[in-house]
Amino acid sequence: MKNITYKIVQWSTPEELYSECLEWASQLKFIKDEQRFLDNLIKEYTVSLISEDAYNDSLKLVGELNTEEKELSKLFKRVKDHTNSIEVLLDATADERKGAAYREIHYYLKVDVFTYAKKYRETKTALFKKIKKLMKNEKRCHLLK
Amino acid sequence: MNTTTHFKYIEWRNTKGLHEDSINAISDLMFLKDELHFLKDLVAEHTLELMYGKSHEEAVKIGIALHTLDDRLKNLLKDLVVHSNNLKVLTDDIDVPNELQDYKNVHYKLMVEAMDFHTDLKKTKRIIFEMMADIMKKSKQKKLS
Repeated sequence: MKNITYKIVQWSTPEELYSECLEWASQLKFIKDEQRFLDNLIKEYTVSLISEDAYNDSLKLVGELNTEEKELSKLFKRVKDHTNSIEVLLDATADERKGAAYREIHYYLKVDVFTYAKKYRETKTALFKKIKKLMKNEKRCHLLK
Repeated sequence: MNTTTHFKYIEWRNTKGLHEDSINAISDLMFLKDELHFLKDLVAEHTLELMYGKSHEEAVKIGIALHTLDDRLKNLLKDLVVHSNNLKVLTDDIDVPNELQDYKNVHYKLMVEAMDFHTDLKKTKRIIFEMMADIMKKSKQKKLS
């Protein structure tokens, strides 16, 4: 548990923790926009995706993306709530335990954002690979005609 | 994705930590490399639509931006691999004055470059998202009419 990330969260100033929260929000917002782009891309290639041999694969991938989109909204809300409760660190009269709890939540949120981004990246890469293949196939069909 | 340690803590990193930083940065950039190639293919695939639209100039700009990013990525990856291999110098028996500090200076510079690269790629990606959304909207209209 006492890894370097955990220690850094303990050592960081409230300002640093706050700017990290903003960074997460901006990162997640970007992912949200990117997911819209991926949705569009899937729509554009729907016919090819479902007529392909690996129909089940495509379906699984699209399902995965949908699940991740839902997860993103929840994660985003957690980040927002956490960002807004930073005052427990700034208020000198606040209970010390509250500050410690804030850092504890910060650490878990950090791990969750990181894990989410990593998982999402893998789904995205798989989708890119698939569509790349479809683009190649379409081109071949054009040439055969 | 920012998987590397905060810059402030580079000062306190040991050789193992520095090695982890480099490995993470390289792995992140490898992902971006695949993504960049996909985007290049995608833009190439839709070049004609882009050209005939009012966004001809923008299409050219995006093409150039993607090429520039690709070159930057290649150089950065090369530098990072060399840097990561140079770590051996720190662990050998030959003591050179300031070798750790010199290494950390290069480390710092490369980490900042990697971060800048992430930021710049995001900017270009945002433009591509918008452009593709536009194209797809138009192709839908065409199908309906």
